[in-house]
Amino acid sequence: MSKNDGNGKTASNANLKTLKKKKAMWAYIFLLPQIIVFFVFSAYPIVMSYVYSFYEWTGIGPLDDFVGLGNYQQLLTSPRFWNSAVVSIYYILGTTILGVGGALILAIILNDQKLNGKGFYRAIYFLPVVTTTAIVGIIMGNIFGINGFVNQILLHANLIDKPIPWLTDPFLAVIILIVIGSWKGLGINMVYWLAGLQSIPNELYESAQLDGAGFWSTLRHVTLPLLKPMAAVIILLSLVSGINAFDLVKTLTNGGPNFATETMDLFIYNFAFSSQLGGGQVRMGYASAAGVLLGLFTFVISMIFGAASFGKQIIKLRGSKRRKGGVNV
Amino acid sequence: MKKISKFMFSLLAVLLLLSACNSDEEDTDSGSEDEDGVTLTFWNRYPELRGGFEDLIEQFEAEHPGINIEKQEVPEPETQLRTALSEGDLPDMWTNIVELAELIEVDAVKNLDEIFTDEVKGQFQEGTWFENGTTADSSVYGFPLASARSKAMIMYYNKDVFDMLGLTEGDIPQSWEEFKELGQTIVDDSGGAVYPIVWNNPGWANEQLVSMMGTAITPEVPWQENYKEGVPQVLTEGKVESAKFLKELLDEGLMAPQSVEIGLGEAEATFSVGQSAFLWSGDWVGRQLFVETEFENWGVAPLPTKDGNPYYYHAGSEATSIRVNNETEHWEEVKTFLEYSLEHLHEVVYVNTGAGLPAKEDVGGEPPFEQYNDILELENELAIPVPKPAEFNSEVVEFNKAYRNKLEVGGIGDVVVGYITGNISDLEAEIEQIDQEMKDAFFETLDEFSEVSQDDYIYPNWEPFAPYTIEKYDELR
Repeated sequence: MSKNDGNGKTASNANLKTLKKKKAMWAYIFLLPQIIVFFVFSAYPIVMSYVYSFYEWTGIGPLDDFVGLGNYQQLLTSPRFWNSAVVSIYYILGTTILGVGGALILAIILNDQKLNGKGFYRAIYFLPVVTTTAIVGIIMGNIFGINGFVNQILLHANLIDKPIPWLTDPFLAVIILIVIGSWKGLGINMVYWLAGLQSIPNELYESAQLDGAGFWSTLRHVTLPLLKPMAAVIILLSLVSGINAFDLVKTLTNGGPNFATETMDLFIYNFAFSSQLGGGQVRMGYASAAGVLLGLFTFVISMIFGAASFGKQIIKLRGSKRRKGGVNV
Repeated sequence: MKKISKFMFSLLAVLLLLSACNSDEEDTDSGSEDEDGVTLTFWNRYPELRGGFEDLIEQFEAEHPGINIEKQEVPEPETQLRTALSEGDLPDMWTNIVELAELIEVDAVKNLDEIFTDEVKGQFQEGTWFENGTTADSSVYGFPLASARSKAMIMYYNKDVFDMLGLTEGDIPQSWEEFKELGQTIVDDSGGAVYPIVWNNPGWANEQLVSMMGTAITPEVPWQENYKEGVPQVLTEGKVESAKFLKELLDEGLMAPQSVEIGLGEAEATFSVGQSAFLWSGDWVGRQLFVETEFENWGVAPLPTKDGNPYYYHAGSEATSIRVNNETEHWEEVKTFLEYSLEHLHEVVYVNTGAGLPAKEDVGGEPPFEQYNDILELENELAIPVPKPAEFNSEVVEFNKAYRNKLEVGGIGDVVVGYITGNISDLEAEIEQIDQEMKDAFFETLDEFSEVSQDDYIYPNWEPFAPYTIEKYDELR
């Protein structure tokens, strides 16, 4: 009996292992296309951009002019590159503060059970998300132009004597870029916040109400603390998406005047493809070096923010596992 | 397990097959062949030639039923051509985009000596054939389109505005002072409805304008080199004063304020609807006004300069030409098209549409607007051949590439825009910085290139405003 049992167990274990292997194999089969796509369109270009960054190369012909760290040296001493980094930082911070904060306010308003026409408002605020950024840039160029709609209104209302150079004053142009970039991303952030708000159990609000909490205390002591994990994700997504401002900047200011609104991604484009806006030559190697630095910049921002927002949770998790005698994370 | 392995192997095989089919399809971008005959692909980057090429292709296809030409307009020509080049996906023909030396280095462009015999070459204007433009090592690599003596900026004036304000051709200003005086009259008499000038903001346009106006003050620097001293030079009195003149116009309300943020197309539209009396631009704009904005009542004159002195532009600044894919599978058909074009292109694409000045001599045709000949006359007068160091020493082509690789900006155009918009207060200091960077890069590169010397950039037998001919190079050899 015990012998049979033993054989039976061994056989069923073997079957289980085969089944597990089969399952794993199927998983790999279904993952294979995505893995191929990832290696061809993501991993390979990333690796090659590191390779190109060590060469003086126009993007055509063999890689035969090895310059070592020359491109990096030139970049790190280039005022134009540093200016583009500063503009990018302003844009990233601006769109995150304005876009994420504004979307939260909007989501709280639109989450009100008593509000009529919520679906309509949500659709309206989401509309810019699905509009092509290049088209937004062109239309906003007309709205904020010297003779644009905004200046015309201000002039007719006698609020200004002469048109405001929204797009040709570097400070104002960066502000306009931030405002439009935030407005463009408002809808998607609003959806994220709504998802977070709707995951908060109603019972908590009812308890707070019974305890006599008003709107502001409920917001401060119930809603915001419970939204913290969601906030970390939304802010991180907003920071990272702020790095890709290319289409808006290209169509709205094209980095001008005199490269004052040139972001890092536009800087890379100008040197990789446009000899007129680069140094007079297309320099794929130089642009690749800038791309590598932009990648590192993104990585550093993500790490800093990740450490700041998730660090405490990780420490807490480690502590609780240690107390339970679990494996350290 | 075996079944799974077989399945995986089949899946991989299918994927490989699919990807192979895909690349086959992509490779066929350089022309194709089917029941209707051969289709050649052709990319055009010049908006002013769009209509002319359509007419030419229509005529060609009617006479050659077995050959079709699929023309595509390329709004981002450099990006598109470089991408196609790196993917091995070039069209059969394209209008010049990437520098010739770079294309020859990777064997991407076809030698056209078979078509351009000495006799055929002789049919083109002097200055058409130059190194790294239409030729390399004296072999032809580009089918010349526009005349080398073109692209100089001129002044268009709106005759409707002139009539409305009671102005005549005698009032056309020649000096900056006269321009400002007339400008004030235009503003006053129109009640502020008409601006004297509308301009546009791309850096290249601003650099061209100040460089050209500047030659009236500093003629020894036609573009970015001083051919007397043999050094790069962008800081000249002429350029600085010209940029200051532009800013004065804007600050004094004599330039349409939107000029600092619009492109040439919008500037042409502003001029055409009578919101500005003058427009500064190149020879190709005549056709654009006539066709795109359907405005015919305009005339042309030279740009105003500081004291009304003459100015000039370095001829042959751009080799406007058709280049052929060295890997084209339909060379015979391409050759047929180019031979047909030799007979008809310059007449159909340039003269009949008024798109500019053709490179070929004695071309027939009927210009669509009467001002065409006025433009032609002005361009011939203003675009003057200057020394081209690459003609003297072909090693200069590689040298220039290496030298320019060391630069952060290609010129002073964006600084001029920054100054006009009020974002740069010390114009001289900004230009001086670029000037110094250019000189440093130039001398640093000279140390790296033993085959090139500063002498290749010094032309003692050159006199500004006097055309620099091939014989002049021989005098120095």
